[in-house]
Amino acid sequence: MHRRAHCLFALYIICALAALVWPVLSWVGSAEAPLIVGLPPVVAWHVLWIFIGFSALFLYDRAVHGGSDDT
Amino acid sequence: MSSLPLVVCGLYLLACLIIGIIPGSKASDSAEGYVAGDRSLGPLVMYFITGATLFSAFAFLGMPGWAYSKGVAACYVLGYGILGFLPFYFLGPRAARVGRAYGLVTQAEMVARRFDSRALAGLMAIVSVYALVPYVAIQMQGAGYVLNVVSEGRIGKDLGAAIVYGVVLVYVLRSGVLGVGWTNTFQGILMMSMAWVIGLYVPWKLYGGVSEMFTAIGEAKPELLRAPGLLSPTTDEGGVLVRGGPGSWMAYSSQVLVSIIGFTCWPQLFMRAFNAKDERTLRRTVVLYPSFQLFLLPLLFLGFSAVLYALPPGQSDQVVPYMLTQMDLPGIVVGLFIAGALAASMSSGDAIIHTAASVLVRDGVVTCLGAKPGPRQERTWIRMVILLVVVGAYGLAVSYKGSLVGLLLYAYGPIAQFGPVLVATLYWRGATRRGVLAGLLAGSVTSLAFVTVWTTPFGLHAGLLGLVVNVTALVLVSKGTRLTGVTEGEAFLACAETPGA
Repeated sequence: MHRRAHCLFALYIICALAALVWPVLSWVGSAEAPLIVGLPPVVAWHVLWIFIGFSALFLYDRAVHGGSDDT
Repeated sequence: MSSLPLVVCGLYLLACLIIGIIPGSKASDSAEGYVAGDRSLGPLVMYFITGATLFSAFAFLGMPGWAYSKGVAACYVLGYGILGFLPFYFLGPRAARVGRAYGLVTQAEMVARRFDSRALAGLMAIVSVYALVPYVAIQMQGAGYVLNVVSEGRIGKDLGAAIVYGVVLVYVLRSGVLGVGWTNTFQGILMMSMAWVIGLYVPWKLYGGVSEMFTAIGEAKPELLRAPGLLSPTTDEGGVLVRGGPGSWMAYSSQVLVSIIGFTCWPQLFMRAFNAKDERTLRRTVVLYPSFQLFLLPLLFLGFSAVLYALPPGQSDQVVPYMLTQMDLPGIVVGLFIAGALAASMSSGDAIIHTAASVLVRDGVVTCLGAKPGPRQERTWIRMVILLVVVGAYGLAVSYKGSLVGLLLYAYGPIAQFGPVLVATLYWRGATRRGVLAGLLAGSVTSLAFVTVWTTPFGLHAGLLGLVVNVTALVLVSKGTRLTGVTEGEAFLACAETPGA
């Protein structure tokens, strides 16, 4: 169970890192594009990743620690 | 403009003074009480002390200034924050365990303990102070800017910085980390609420809403909404700000990477591992951190709202307070926002001043030079060094005329060099004293050389080049100097790996 959580979380870190720098960010934010929920695409993209980041860590914490003190 | 905003700022400073002084009677007389708060900080204070420490004057002034002058280049702050605090989730609990077991209160002390090296503690103390003093100077500049603008020039920038940091000095000297913690809680609540209220109100007032604002900017200045934003602005002969050309992806990406690695390594943040009541508190602080990250969003809106409105002053960092004082806003609203900006400056500045002094005394004088002061004497030394740090940072703040964010990026390079050292200390059995020392030294010198002597290729951040050299030297020298089958600091690592140790 923990091994699966570790693997999924590592995958999230790789995806998030790629999403925040060149070249992935250049695909999202370089072109002229309509606003997304009232925000420029590059701003909306970062807000999306803040929520993804919170959800990923919250779920990982629950899966590995389940609210206890051990690591 | 009425004097109401100044009155609000005065009341805010008085509140900080009172809240900061009261906890001083609760901590023990020892250096551990003064530096680590007797390891008693619960979830609420830990949450605010961490978040408010990280979000500083540059969040309230520098980032909106970037949005105004460089467009979406300011998103790099959102970008690095998404992953930047994550390493602490893993490093923090391990550091807390060894801190409790060995009585450690600073990160350099922790590294020196694992590798039994005084030189490492001394080197980390030097690198820390080299990076922390400019960071304090940023906070002082920010405080000076806002008081100068809100008083319509009656309070000079230098005097404004002196007034605000006079208040900080009093409660940090009196209460140590507990004063920092409780004022940060008050300041965190104030700045988060003010950022959201003003950050949504101003675009609504000027454009009819956030979406309408971005639509207007997209039609008038689309280059500001295109990643990676624009290069740094210049000022023309009349002192008016002139925006730069399209920015570089290499520069943007390397800034994000170095900031992600450097984020957790700031001593004033990492030392929170030694303050927390338990490991669960530490992990929860990291999990909840995005709520602080989201508060940057309205500040980004504020910066963009100035694009088609404000008459640009010479420095982009001043654009938000300048615009707010020019708009027909109630004095109480302007005063509360300015108090929020002061809160951002002070909540980082107080923690950094306290940390820099603790590092100099604990790592430099006690661990590296081998001095053996009594608990009360050590506390007195730290208080004396706090005075020195404030004076040094003030000197830099009044003499440095560049951008706040530029100064922060300059500080990130050397601090990021702690990243490989901390991971090796808490995780890698193969690391050796000579390897860690070689990596830290080589990385710091490389980073410094590319800031002061050479130019980095493709606009890469100097800290990134330093990290490449750092990791290479750490791995190669450790492999070359490790005795077969011997782990330096085996008991230390075993303690770090054992929950509840």
